[in-house]
Parts: sequence; structure tokens; C-alpha cells
Amino acid sequence: MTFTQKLLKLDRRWIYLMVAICIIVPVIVTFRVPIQVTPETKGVYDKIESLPKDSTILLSLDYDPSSMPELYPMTLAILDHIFTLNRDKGRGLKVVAVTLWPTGPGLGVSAFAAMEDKFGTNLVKRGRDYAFLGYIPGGYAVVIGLGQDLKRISPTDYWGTPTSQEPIFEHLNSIRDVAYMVELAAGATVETWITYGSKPYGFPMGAGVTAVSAAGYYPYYNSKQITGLMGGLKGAAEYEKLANVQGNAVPGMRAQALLHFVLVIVVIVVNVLFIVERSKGGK
Amino acid sequence: MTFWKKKFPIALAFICGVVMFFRFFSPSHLADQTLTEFSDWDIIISAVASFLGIFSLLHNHYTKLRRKVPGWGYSIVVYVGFTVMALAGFLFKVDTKANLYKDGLVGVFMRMTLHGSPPPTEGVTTIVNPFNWIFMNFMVSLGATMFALLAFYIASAAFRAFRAKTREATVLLIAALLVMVGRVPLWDFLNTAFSPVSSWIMNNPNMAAQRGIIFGIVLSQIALSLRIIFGIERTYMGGGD
Repeated sequence: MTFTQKLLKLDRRWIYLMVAICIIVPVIVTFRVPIQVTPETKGVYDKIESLPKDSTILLSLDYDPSSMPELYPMTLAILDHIFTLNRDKGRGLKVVAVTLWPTGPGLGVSAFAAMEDKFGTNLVKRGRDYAFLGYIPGGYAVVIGLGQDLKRISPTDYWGTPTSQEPIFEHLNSIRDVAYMVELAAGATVETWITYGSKPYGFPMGAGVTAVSAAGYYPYYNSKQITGLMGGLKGAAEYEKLANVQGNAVPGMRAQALLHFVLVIVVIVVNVLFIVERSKGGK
Repeated sequence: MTFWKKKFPIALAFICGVVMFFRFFSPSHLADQTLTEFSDWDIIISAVASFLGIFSLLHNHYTKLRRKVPGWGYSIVVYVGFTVMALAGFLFKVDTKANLYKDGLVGVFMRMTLHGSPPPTEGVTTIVNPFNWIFMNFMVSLGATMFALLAFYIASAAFRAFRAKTREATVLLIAALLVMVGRVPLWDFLNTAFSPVSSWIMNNPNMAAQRGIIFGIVLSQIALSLRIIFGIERTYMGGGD
């Protein structure tokens, strides 16, 4: 067996080692990654920037811990952006969050706790500036129900406070009253929110999805059914750059960028060797 | 028995399907009310189904334990995990903060179980509720670990499968490389040069293919829905007679 043939049949453990090195090295050695903002991500950012004063934004946190590394930084970046607008420009934006995933509430609670810690409870007050409805079972039926009568579908928030008693819901009877919605999804719930929420109830929406599923949502982006699309950790990093947020996505991109770059090189080298080997064999 | 097992579910599916279909085209208040009523029932059924899911999970693992099938030890982990999480969820309210120095351990326990959430104050000691603590320290770490393993598998698969063996595979390979080079943020000059190409691929060939897939799925869904409404498709009623 020639050297080329050996290389083409390289033991997978060497590849695992290469991946491990590419992920560990950027943790130790920091370097700058040039994040280029795509129009897709800017679509979400611009929409939030342009919302009228005292608007309510709906966030649907439809993901679980397994996709947390990609979608949680997006959640934090968006919330940070909203509350920064409130602090610096007195925009009075409000956030109502919900999750259609049973494993989602813990992450939602954690995200709002992080915002309370950062901005203080004078600026980020539960029931006044934000509300978290927690997990509501039923998938698309929940979306329909929230559009019919929010307080009936969710009589209490995640902490058990009646929604009818919370100031944030004073003028918010259904999701027809929200000015914008961002769906952060690890599954197929973007379609659910478009079909049963955004279109019938007439509110614009944007989406943040895992990198692996981002390609599938371009038809919705191009047909303007979603104003913007954030894909994976890179989408989160782009949002952090736009909103000037010091989050985990930009540092995380170092490892991802290096690994992707090495993979591109490896795939090119392997294919060159493969073509050379094939030409030698006369095939 | 045939009535309850076959005729009734078919009739129910037919009525629900037809009502919901015509409701969509009606702007009346009655149509709106019907939608509310049906979506309420849907939510109730989903909630009940989760109990069925729990029962099924526990029953499945009980069978594994009883028969001592290979790997039965993991079933014990399922039972322990389920019991601990259920107890933590039922016993403790979903608070996240309490003042350990001010309230003491008993006070913190009382606040978490009986009195709801205390407002966070300056210099507060964060005591995470047991349910949330287990979620953040077990579930999150385990979930992230499982997802992180994908990096290794995808790299290995890319190395082995991403080869220009056929003309179609070569086109796919070139497209993938162009998209990756245009999106991997390592060098500005590479991004600047390849970003428009990458965007063009994503917004044109990719979108066209995805749109085709979506149309295919939706047409299949319409066909399947019609088959269920008219009682041709009966597999949703389960096996047997």
C-alpha cells in the first residue's frame, strides 16, 4: 500500500485528534476572527432597531441543552440588545417569551436571570419588562391559542404569577398585539410559527436556527416570510458584533473557524490525492 | 366493537378534518370560536399524551429490568433520574434566588418550597433551586456533550465521504467548499472574495432545491390529510384489527 493510499484510508482516530486539537488550541491561544455580518442576520437586528417605542417582542425559545451552544448565545445577544436599547435610548421595549419544548424552560429562566444580573432589576423587571410563560404543550395548537387569547392559554407565567395581574399583559391580549417575533429553533418550529402565528395573526418574525438547518430556511427568508435568519454560532457572533455585545459566540467562533478552515484544507488535499490515485489506476 | 374501533375514529377524523378545512375560508365569529375550541382540545390531548409517553417510557424500562436484558443498568439510571427530577419539580417552587446569609439553610428551603420567589437584593447569595440546578448542571452538560460529539463524526464523515467520485459528487463538493470558504471567518480577504459566491449559492441553487423539497412535503401532507379525512389511511389507528 502506497503512502497516498494509506493517507486516503487514514484511521478515524487521527481525524478525531485533529478535531480535538483544533478545538482546544483556540481556547488556550486567542486570536481575532473577522466576523462579517450577513444581510440575513442584519435583518433581525434592523427590525428590532426600528420597532416603535413600547413595542412588545415575542421570543420563542424552542431548543434544548443539546443545541444550547448555538442558540443560547443568540438568545442572550437579542435580549442584551433589547435591554440596552431600553437603557440607552429609553425605548421601553418589552419581551414575552415562551417555549414549545419541554426542555426549554430552564434555559429561558437562565437567560432572563443573566439579564437581571447585568442590567439590574430596575431595568429588567419581571412582569413589567419581561414575562416568561414557560413550556406550554401542544405545538401548533399553542400558537393558534396564543393568537386567540393569550391569558386563557397561559393563565400564569413560569413562576406562577397570573398573567392577568402582570403589567406587561395589560395591553397584550394575544400575540396579534406583538410588534415582532424572534423564533429560536432547533427543530421544525419555524414553519409552525410562520404558518399558524406570523401569517394568520399578522406580525413580522425573524428566526435563529442551528447551522445544520439554516440552509432549509432560505425560501422563507427570500420570500420575506421572515425578516432575517441567524444560522448557528456564526449567526450569534454576527448579532453580537452588530449589537456590540460581549458574549460567548465570538470567542466560540475561534474554535469553529479554525476547525472549518482545517477541514476545508483536508478535504481539498484528500481530493487531490484521490484524483491522482484514480488517474494512476487508469479509472 | 367495530363501531368504536373503526367507524367512530374514521367519522371523528372526517368531521374534524372537514370542519377545520371550511373554517379556514370563513371570516365569521363562529369559525374563530371553532378554532379556539379545537386548539384547546389539541392542547389537552397533547398534555394527556405526555402522560402516556411517561408511562410508556417507564414500562419499557421496567420490562428491561425484569428481563435483565443487556444494558439493564441504564434503566436504573432512567428511574433514578426520573424520580429525582419529578421530586425536585414537585417539592420546590421554581425560584432562583434567596439570601443564604440572611435566611439560613432552613429559611432558603422554606422560601423555595412555600413562599415563592424572594426579590433579589444587593449582595444576594444565589441559591439555585434544586430542579434548575440539576437541569443546568446535568442536562445542559450532557446535552452539550452529545451535540459536541457531532463535530468529530462530521469531520470523520467529511474526510471519508466528501470525495469527487462522480460528477454529481464533484459539483456538491465544489459548492460546499465555496460556501465554507466564504463563511469561515479566518481571513478577511478570503471572506471578502468568496462571501458573494457563498451567498449566491445559498440564495439561488440552495433555495431552489429547498423550495422544491418544501413543495414536495406539503403536497404529500395534503394527500395524506385527504386520505385520513376520507378514511383511506387508517394506520394512525394502530395495528391489529
